[in-house]
Amino acid sequence: MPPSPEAISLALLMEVPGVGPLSFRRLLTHFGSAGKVWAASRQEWCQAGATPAAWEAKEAFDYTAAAGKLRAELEETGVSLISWKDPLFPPNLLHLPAVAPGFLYYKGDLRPLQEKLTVAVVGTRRATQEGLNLAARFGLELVQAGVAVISGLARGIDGAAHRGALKAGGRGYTAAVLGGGLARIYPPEHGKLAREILRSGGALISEYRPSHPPLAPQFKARNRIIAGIAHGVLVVEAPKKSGALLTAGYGLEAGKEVFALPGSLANPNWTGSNNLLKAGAKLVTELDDILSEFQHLPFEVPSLADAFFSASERKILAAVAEKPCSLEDLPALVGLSWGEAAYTVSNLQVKKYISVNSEGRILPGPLWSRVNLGLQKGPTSL
Amino acid sequence: MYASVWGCALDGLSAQLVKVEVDVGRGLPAFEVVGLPNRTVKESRDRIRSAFRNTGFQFPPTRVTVNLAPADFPKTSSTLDLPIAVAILLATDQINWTDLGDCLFWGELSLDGQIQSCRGIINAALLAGKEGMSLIYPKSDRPAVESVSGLSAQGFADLSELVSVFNQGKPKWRISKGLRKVGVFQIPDPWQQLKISGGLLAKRFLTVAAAGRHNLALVGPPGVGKTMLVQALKELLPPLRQAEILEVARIYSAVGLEVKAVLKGEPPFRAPHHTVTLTGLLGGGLPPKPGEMTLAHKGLLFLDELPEFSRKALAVLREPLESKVIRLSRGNKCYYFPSDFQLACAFNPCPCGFHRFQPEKCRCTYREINAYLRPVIGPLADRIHLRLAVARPLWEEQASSRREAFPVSIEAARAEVENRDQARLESRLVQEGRHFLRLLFKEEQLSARAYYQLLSVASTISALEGSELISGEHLGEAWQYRWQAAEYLEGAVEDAALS
Ligand SMILES: [Zn+2]
Repeated sequence: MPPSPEAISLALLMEVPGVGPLSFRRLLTHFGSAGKVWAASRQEWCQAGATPAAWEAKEAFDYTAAAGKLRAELEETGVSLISWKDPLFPPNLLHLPAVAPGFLYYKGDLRPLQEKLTVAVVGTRRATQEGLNLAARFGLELVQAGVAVISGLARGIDGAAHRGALKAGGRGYTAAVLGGGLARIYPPEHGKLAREILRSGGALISEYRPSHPPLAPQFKARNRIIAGIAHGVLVVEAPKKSGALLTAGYGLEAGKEVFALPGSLANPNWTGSNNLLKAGAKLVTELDDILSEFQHLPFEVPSLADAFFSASERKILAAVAEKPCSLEDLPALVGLSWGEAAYTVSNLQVKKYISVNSEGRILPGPLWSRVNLGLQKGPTSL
Repeated sequence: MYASVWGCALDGLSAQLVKVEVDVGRGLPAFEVVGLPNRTVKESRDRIRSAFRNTGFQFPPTRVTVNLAPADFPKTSSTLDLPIAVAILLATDQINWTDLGDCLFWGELSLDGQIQSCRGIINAALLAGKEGMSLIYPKSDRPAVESVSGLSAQGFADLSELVSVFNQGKPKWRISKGLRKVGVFQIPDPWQQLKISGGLLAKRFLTVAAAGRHNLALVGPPGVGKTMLVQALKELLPPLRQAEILEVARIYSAVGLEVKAVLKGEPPFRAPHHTVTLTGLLGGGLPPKPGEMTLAHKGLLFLDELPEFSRKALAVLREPLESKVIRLSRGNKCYYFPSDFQLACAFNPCPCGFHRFQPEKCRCTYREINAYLRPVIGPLADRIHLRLAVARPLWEEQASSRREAFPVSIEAARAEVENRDQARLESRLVQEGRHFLRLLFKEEQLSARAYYQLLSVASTISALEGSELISGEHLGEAWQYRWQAAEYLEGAVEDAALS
């Protein structure tokens, strides 16, 4: 989808010398739309609280050429651009006029951010193996519970959280907010991870144009977007001075839930996390600690028992419980596509919950007794 | 008086140039052929004599010596009749136009002088095309000859027609235009034709097999229609590519099979009986003729009652399944016969045929079943990607699965499958697929070979679904065509009474 003129105007406004995030905000609040900002007279401009020098710069700015260049860049890199007026714009960011950018570059699918409970999983770049495992575990468990996992695609905890979310096999949703342009994935070794996120139906988000280099100060700035998009922030492993604490701080300012995993007192890698807990963050040892905080929100958060078997698995198990059926009748019987039915049957069969006899009949399998357990109480372990 | 013209003879799958030299000298009437001719060639003496007499030409009443050079390979066919006859006519001044250095003569003579077709015409035409020679051939072979593009050639019905044309000077060569574009195959609905209703799983299975050229096995009790399914598969196969047509036609021609269907693009279908000899499968003789495995090149080789084939026959199947070529050594010469076939096999699960499917009827012991299946299990079964257990006759299927065959283009899917780098399929796997494979590794102890086969079948399914990527759904479906009947292919059969 090509970007709206408004989105282009917004994005280019940020490129006018002398227009920083603050004056950008002021101008936008004053004029209401980027188009009006560009058309503003010197007097109106100064009334809005921006400098005359910036106005001179705006007047000197070759808008048509820059817009053409930006459109070409977007087309070439396959990146989309939306403004806050677009329906796809992450709704949580709209409530944060003070920090939110008025536009976002993205690749992939942003729709789930409209519908899903979203939790940011963040932590240090120099993580311990333990921290990595925990990040992956919570990444997976969260998406299995239907929660969107967002993070920063950084080395260490961020990457592990994304990878964990991907382990749900394309049925989970994870998005990454980058500190540089989407055509310049940083760190470079996460290029593959970024592609996998896209392939799984996730998204890559940035406030910088695709070719923009990943510069150090931008990484702090993107933490505010991570915190802004999420409903809650989970800090997995953070030493004393960690960017993750910054994210948690932005989260607190914006009134988000902040969670932390406790760590050893002897391990300086967890000092920041422990301090956060001392300051009042919610201590998390299992997934339900997080989910229980969001009961008041209008999201359908399935219980863990539901996550144990996917929706299609439950459909098939229920059908088999009623009477043995054949692979051929199954798709029509439970309303799945042929492929979905085959995949689900294969999975259940390999896990021995069901078996298929030589006539092609699907019957309860050796581990059928656990199926009931899974359907009712949830698994003993994942 | 001496004269020489060019002929050719089959050596394996290719025709080799043979220089036919004739010397008509003094002496008592005699007709001698030297240069490794076999019996057929020696018989040509009698055919040529009669043909001369019956068309009014004079056979020299002196000593005639024919030399076939080079002498290092045996000439088996009667196709040297025509060049020998023409050389004799030249040597005895019965043809005026002598500029025959660029002509390649091909054909058998009947006693009344007709020029008759014989096996190897495509091979001869390919040789003439390669050497830039003009082919003189039996008129009845025109469709075959004209499939080789750019070839200058002329067909003649009998010896006197040939001589009268040659006496008027250089003949007008016809330049062949090559194969006509194979039109889009109007695939009739094979399901309808074979009255297969229902059987959704079997239909899908065959669609996948046709699109991916995967080797397949059908296991089930007698009388459930396994053979019929293979016939349906044959109908589903996409037509041969332009480039493949001559490759296959030359094999067919070399053994004297009708090439008409092949030239239209119909893929070969060979179904040798289980009593077939090793030579019948592999090819043999001197010079060697291709066997069933080569005749099924680019097509389907169907082995019904697989365990009934001799153990040696099943052993020789393995190599070409991997290398797609058969190597035959004859003296110091090696012949390579292409044998890129798709293997379809069908068999009963046990000697009586009811094991596991109708257990109450089966009285076979564990020992008997395993002895019966032993030739199949192991290396051969390892090369079979798709397995289907056929439990009940398909025409008895319930009408519950009303949805008919999957609406897909097998031809397009085949093109996509062939386009994909088989060594890099893993790069197409989505996370969910990896996840499922890991589960299979853990729970089913999947071998590396089985892993790659599963991936390749899943890739075919994804191509059928029009997907670039291989998802869990594709792998899940592929798995359904792998585990079925596994016990009969992997040697884990237990006594029906025990299970
Ligand atoms: Zn039996």
